[in-house]
Amino acid sequence: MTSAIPLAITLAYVVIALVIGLRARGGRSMQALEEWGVAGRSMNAVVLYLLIGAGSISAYTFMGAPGWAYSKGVPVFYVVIYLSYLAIVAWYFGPKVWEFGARFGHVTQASAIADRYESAALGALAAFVMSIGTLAYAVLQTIGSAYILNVMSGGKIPVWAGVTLVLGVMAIYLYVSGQRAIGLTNAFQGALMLMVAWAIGLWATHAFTGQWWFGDIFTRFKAERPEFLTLPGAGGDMSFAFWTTSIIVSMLSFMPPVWTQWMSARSKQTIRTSATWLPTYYVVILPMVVVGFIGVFSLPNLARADTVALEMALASMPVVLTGLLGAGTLAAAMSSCEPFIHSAALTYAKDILQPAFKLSNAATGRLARMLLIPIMALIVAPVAITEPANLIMILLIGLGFAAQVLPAFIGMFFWPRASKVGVTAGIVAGFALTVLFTVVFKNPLGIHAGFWGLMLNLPVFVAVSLKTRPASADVTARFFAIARRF
Amino acid sequence: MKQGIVLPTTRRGWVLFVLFIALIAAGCWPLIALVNHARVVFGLPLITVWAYAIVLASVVLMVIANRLLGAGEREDSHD
Repeated sequence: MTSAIPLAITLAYVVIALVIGLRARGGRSMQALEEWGVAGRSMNAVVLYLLIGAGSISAYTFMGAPGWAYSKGVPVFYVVIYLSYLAIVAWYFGPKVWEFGARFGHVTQASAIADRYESAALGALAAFVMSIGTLAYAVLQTIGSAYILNVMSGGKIPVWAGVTLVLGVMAIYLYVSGQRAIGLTNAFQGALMLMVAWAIGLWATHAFTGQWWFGDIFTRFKAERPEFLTLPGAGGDMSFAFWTTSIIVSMLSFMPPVWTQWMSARSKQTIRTSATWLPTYYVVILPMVVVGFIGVFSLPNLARADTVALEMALASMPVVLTGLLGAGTLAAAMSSCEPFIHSAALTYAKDILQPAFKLSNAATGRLARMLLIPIMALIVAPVAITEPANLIMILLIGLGFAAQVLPAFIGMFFWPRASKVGVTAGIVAGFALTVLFTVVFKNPLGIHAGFWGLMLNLPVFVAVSLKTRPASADVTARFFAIARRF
Repeated sequence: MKQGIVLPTTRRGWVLFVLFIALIAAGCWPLIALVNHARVVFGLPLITVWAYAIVLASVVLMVIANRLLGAGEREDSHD
């Protein structure tokens, strides 16, 4: 690539994100953990809509969704379905989580777990193990960011420099403005992604068919490659069982940053309003998927399926569109990365270090902000630069574990009799089976490993809970005064 | 403190609960098998149309639920 315009557009996006992130503070003090961690519970419905929407559309979705369409076809649409179900999860649980936070002072998911089960140790355990998946996810997004900068610069920005640039920019505005920076930058990134995805998708469709809608593309698939239009897809690996269990496991993975987003809302009604309209955001996926389908005919010999959109841009799109694709993909990566790093810093400080060293709230607030730097410099950056081959495996195990924390939430929202020993036993049993079925016997019978983990986890959780002492009556009473409302 | 499982306590709550379960079932097997055909509808694969119908149904159902809950909360406040 010879033009400097795509790189200039991509870097312009980085500068704009930095300015928005810095201005998000708006003169407020970030000393209090509630201000830096959950934006003083102040976000309105529009910001929350774009925050959750953009946060769930990662670089993997922006690059991986076209890649899945290119290699498998319609199986990619399970993502649209589970994201819609996640909106329903947000609609039901979000207002309750918000009320827990506002009434009981929680700013993290693990602090709610510690409070419900009267166990700082269980909270610390949940915080630590959830952070494995959280940080693996952040590393993947950082790798995606560095890759985009490398491609847009024609190789002039090496991976280490791209990682440093992206993390450095995020570190500055996260330190200064905390969750407020995440809210406003994600709002900008979410709007940018929506615009870029449709511009790219419609341009590619028009260039390929002369039409502005996708009908001719799929009519050709029906005639020449019908296996792309049905399950199990062209790869033959998305069975009904794997489709269904992937949706269920993804829907039940309550990741900590999502919890933090709910607690950042201005009110319970704000969460309901944004969750109600949230599924509409996922029209962002359709045009990018169509780009992947077009690639099946126009770029039939790609070595890596997830580069199909970028390769198409570099081969045939106007330089401005190529730059917008770079900016949009970088926005997708950063909008997913920053909440995960912020969440890890917040939970390490609040749920592990504060109880361990009996820190004051003020000291914990300062510590959370400081922790951003070592987390980025000592964990995210080195791992991202080395680009480990088994990172996807780490992420899958991390997400598999996220689903295994389900008993903690069942005991918080549905079953007062749940005990901390039951929750711990369920998590340990479920996690062990998930690891076994991810690493050794991969997804037996075509069923997602995390789903197998839950099949063991839930009976163990119930049986052990019934045999052990539940939390005290006043704790269950105050939680279920909120949880029982429907 | 009751130790039983939390379930809807009103008729409205039960109706919403059943509708939400039905919506989740719509995206999973066996219902997804009913639309697993290499057909093009509105210029899109049938499964794609189904996926976005679920998107639309999710929004409609949450709008209905907001209205029902709003009505319920107003009734509660009059009690």
